[in-house]
Amino acid sequence: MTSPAKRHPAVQYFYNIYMALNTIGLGLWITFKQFIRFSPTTVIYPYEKRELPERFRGTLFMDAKLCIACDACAKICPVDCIDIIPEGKGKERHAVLFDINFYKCMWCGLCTEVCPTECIYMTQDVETVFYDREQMIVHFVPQLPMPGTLGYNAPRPGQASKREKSAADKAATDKPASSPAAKPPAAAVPAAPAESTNEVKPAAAGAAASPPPPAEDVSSASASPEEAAPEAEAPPKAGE
Amino acid sequence: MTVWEQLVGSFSTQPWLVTLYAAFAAGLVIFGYVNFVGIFAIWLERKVAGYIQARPGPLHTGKFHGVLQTLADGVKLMLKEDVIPAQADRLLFTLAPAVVFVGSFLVMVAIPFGPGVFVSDFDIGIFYVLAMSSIAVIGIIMAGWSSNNKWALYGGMRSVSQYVSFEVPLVAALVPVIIHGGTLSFRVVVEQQAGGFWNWNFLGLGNPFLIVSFLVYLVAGIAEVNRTPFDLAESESELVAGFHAEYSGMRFALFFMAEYANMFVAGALATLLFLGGWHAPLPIGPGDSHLAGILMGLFWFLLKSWILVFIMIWIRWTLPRIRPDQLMTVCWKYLLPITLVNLVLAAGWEALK
Repeated sequence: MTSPAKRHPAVQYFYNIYMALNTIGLGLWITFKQFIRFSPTTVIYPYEKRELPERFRGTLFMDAKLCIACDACAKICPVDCIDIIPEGKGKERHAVLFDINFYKCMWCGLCTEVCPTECIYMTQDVETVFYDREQMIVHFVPQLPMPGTLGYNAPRPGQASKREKSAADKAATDKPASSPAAKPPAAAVPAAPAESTNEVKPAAAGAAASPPPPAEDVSSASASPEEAAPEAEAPPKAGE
Repeated sequence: MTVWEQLVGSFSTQPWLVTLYAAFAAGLVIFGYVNFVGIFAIWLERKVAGYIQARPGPLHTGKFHGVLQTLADGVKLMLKEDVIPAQADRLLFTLAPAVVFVGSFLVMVAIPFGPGVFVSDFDIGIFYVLAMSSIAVIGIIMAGWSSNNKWALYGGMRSVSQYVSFEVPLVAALVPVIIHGGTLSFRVVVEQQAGGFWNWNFLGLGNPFLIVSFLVYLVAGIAEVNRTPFDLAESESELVAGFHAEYSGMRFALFFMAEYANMFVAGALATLLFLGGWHAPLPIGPGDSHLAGILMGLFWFLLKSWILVFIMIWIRWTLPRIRPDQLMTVCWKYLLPITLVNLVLAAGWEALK
């Protein structure tokens, strides 16, 4: 409390003993209160997951049907982790290759800020685990199934065909119910920007159903939830 | 004649065999208990640490709150590679964990766990325990020296200087108990405290200076087992891990186990000398001669000892580590004068009573 120099040494000696016992008792009382009113601030991770903030910067995701291949994201990227090859002129312009190298990405979020169509955004996915380094270069064209599956759910090189097959099977079973709705591409375009800003989009489920390579031509084969289907069919034609 | 009959028959012709087998069996029991202490105390430590820090601690291994976590860790340590550094003194390096472990093992022999439940009823039990618990120091300095690592050597030196320093107030704090009881036998000291908690030494109704003895013993006891306010010997943040920095696998586990066994021994000593040993707080229940009385005595002794172990864990997760000069100040400037004055006053009280 007051400066120790003021006291007589003998008084100070006993004062030290008193202060030692006092402060130790205080500390013990605080930890004991913690001990009996046990309220963990942790969660049991794989079973419970902590709610992430709304604007959490998780793994990047790219919505190929909205992309106009303007290259703004690739230009602003401080680590050059985005590769784009554009094709077409004017409104036809789209990306034929859109790769994000997650080995380099540092989650700065600059690409999402410059994107004019909001087609590249950050999801709430934090479980970005890859089996090998090649896999960390993620190809977003053709359209990937959905945000939150880049990591360990992504197909390994050998598994890719199996996964696509099961997705195609699922699409085939869904098809009779939803194919009538799968039509006007024009209607989908205005709706899409609004959707693409939220994280887990229902549209992505439709996209998942379509086997990535033949997405453009075999349009009738791929379909499922209503508004998702037209977007999924024609990512490159999204401008029109 | 079966093997068993030969064995039993040989008892009559060679009585020393009985002693041998009995000693072997007692050793096994004590060994099992030391291992149990290690496993349970480490689990308790982790749970208490978790609860104090607002997290649950081990949860998964074993059905209930991760009780088997330490066992799993032990199995993991046994399977690990046993590394001996190239420049280490191989003989001392391999011997050191065994010496430390044997030190805590030998102490257990003299501790009465209940009425009639002891390996050996020494007349000089207190003296024996204080002597044997010093063996660990030799092991620690062996480990620190033979590792050929400066941090390990620092840790070993600190540990020994701390141990030798705190031995003085510790023993001086126990002397009033010996004067009061007039004996060095644990059994007699405990039997003198029979008949309710008001007869226990720590309340000081028989000799008020035993209260001071008890408090000093608590402080010095924590220093003796190298635990947190006084764990300079293995301070992780400055000396990596102190004397066992170079150890891995089962040798490391032996150090760890010895530390927790020593913790239990410190708690058990306080229980026997100050908290009435195996006596219940109120003089009710079956007498010490019945089996039920023996079990009750065992229960009370273990309960009190483990509460003291809990208090040591609690203190560890409350207080920060102190500096070496502060450590020596606590020992030589505060504990030692207090215990010496206390010793003189307690002896005077006994003489004039």
